[in-house]
Amino acid sequence: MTILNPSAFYLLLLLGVILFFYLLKGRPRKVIVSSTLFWRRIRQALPVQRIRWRLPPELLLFLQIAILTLLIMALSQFLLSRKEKKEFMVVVMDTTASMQATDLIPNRLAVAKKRAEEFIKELPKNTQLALVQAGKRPQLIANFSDERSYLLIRLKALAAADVRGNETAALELASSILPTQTQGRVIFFTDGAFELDLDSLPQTVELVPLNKKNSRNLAITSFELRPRTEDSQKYELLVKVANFSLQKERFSLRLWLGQNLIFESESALSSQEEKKYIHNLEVKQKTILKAEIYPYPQDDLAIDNTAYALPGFSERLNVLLVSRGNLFLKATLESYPQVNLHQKQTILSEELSGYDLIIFDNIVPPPLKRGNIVCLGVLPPNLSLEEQDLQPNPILTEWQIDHPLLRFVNLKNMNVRQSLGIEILPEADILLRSSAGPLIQVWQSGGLRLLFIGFDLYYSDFPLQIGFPIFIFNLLQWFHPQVFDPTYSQIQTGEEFVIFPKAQKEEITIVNPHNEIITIEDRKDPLIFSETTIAGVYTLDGKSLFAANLLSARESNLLSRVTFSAASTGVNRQVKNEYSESKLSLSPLLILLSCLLLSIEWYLYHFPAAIGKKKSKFSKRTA
Amino acid sequence: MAKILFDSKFLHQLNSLKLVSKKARKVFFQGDRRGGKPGSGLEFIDYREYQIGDDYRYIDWHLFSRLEQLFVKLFTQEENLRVHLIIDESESMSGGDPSKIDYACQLAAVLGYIALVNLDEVGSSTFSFQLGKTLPPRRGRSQVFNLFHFLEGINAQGKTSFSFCLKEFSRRQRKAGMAVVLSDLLDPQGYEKGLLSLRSRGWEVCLLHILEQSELRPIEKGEVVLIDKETHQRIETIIDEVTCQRYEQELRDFFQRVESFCQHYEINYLRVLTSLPLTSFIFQDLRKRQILK
Repeated sequence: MTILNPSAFYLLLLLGVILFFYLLKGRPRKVIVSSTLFWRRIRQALPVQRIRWRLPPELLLFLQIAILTLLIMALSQFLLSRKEKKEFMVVVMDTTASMQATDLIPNRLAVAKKRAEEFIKELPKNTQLALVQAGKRPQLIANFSDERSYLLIRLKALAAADVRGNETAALELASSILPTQTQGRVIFFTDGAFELDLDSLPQTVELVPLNKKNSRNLAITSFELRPRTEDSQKYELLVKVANFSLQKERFSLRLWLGQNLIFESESALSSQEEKKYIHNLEVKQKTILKAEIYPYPQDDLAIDNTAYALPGFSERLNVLLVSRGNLFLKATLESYPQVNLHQKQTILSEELSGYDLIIFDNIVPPPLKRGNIVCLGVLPPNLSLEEQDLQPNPILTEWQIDHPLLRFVNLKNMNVRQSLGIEILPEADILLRSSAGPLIQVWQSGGLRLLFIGFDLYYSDFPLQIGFPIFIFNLLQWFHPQVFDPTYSQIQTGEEFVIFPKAQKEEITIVNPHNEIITIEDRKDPLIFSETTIAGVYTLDGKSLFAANLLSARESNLLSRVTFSAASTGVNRQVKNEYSESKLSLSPLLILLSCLLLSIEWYLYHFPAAIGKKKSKFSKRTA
Repeated sequence: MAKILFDSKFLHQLNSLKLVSKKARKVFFQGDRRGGKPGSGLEFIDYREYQIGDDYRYIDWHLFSRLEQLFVKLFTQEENLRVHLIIDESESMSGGDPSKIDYACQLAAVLGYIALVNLDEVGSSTFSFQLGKTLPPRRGRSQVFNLFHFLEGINAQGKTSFSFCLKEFSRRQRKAGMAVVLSDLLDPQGYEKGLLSLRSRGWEVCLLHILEQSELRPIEKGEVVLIDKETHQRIETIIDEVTCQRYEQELRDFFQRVESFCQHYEINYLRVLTSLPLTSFIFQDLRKRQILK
């Protein structure tokens, strides 16, 4: 017997409440009797009577105690262990991009699902089955159940994604959810279009291949763009096309920049041959670059015939400097072409929106809720920190040399004349410590990212250090890395994309390549966007945000690379009946029993005559 | 105040009954019952030899003609019975439905009626902590109404002093007879001395122990304060099944002691519940115990 929730036994203290109410019976009733002659003798004979009566052997009390005990037992979730013949089985469905191949009609996944459905229907009733989806990340679709209809519904809902698979992780997950390593089986319905070390698989895993014809596939396996150093508007493009068919294939490659066809080439590739194309292009505005291959005739997998990229200038950062005048900051920020610098001497709360970064230089900011903020020598008012006296000549003691903000910044020779004496912000990351307390700290909460520098630049020689412009660059890159990374807007399907939305926005809307709208509320800054399983261009607020491409030679190679054993070509439906321990919850039974007792108690309370019939017998006899 | 109401049919039934007395008593008035001694009655019982001074009228001349010896005929003595109804009118007699005092008065009325119809002398007395009112013994049917009127005026009040009162009664009454004591015997001082004083004065005692239903087994359960009707003493106790059993045991012992005592001193003892119909008690229980015939 197992108890899942032993803390419920604390409720046994309620028994004391029931007993307390029994002890709190009303004042004794006055009964006038002919004589107390006999009662005096009885009282002398039963001296402990009072104590015993205080907890009377009343049927109602016993019933109430029993009801409460049963309910507590139900809450504590008693589980009765019993051994029964059962087999545990996990069906793993391959839903990677290769399963979209149409060499099997209508496609590989549909055929696999049909075979899995037949397999599930023919299983013995005592088999507990779970479903695992093997995609980019393995996912448990249905936990162990013998409800065939439920499992079939979950199976039918599966769809292939444009992602590279991680089959090993899926099989490990399936093996790990089996009750024991020796019991149960893992059945993997797959096309085998991946490399797998069979020896590393547990013995319980059985691979079920799809009977397929010779598949044909041409794929773009690489699509890379990099800006040329001499001109930021000029790019170099690398396109790799590979033939994964067993025969020679002819194809046409076309490059589209927006609506304009900028390159077209026809070529042929032998089996397993790859061809590289390098193309120079000039991009004057941000637009979509698309590469397409047209095999002759059409191949079996279309998803890897197209690739996208988003070349062009990144949006410039709107940086607001709130200061009475700081030559160092102004000159440094203006030196970066990615920065649009705005300056103000005062600012209101409603004016905070619309800037990618706001720097408060010795100007007390309004209450801050979200956004990218740098405070120089001032305390944010809504952080409830006590301001202490100015600390003269703090000695620098420690700094985080490996933090992105201090990368390549040497603070060894920096001197600070005076600094704010403040406490450490809760859960803050201290970048620079001194004898007077933290000098630079980073604090992130919800949509607010705050860099706090506890001294005035004019009261230090930091602006005169070599590391100062590097620090400013690190600062800009830390707040907005997308502006400085040319590959930022291109990811592989299934990977997470980090979004740095404009400051002060509480809700963002992303449209995926299938024109499905994804709204994200109560976001954090930055936002990790993981719904990138569809290849194509994703847009944010009507503007292209990033492109997701399959670009996986491993996934595009539709030929089976896994050696299936002779036994595993057909599914072995024979179930090894082994005794396994299952848990039976007693809670429903206990609740039913307590309800029954409750109704008996109700009856006895309202019809007490049912338990008081014996009274007159003795009277009659005595008379 | 007890109401003595009997219908004519019931009274007619009572006419056929007679109180049974086992002991002979001195004769003051010729009664309706056969005495233990020879006397001037009508019923012949025996002969004896003539002695000087005997009344010539009782000589059997037919026997003299045959035997030439003088024999005198002996006849039974017709005696009357003096019945005294002694009723406990203490406060404890007020309990029950009907109350013990009402039941006792009605029972006394019935017994008194039977005795008066049979030309016996009937008197009545009440007692509580002292001897109360007394109806002097009278004979004749006309005394029935006096008796009923006396019984109707009885109220239950005061403490019980059973032995003291019966001693006082026996001291005041010079002539003994049959004493019918109606009481619940609930006197902490005991009942034995009172009954013994009656016996020692030559009274034939009939003790009718009157009880109510709630005295047999407590009806109330739980934590109670028991208040004595007479002494107003309070006992705080808790009545449960065990206590009830104990009470019943105490009561059984009490009954046994009373029965043993009465048996030993030839006292006619009978226990009656107020819930028992009066007719049933008179025509069955009293006749069965040969108090009535």
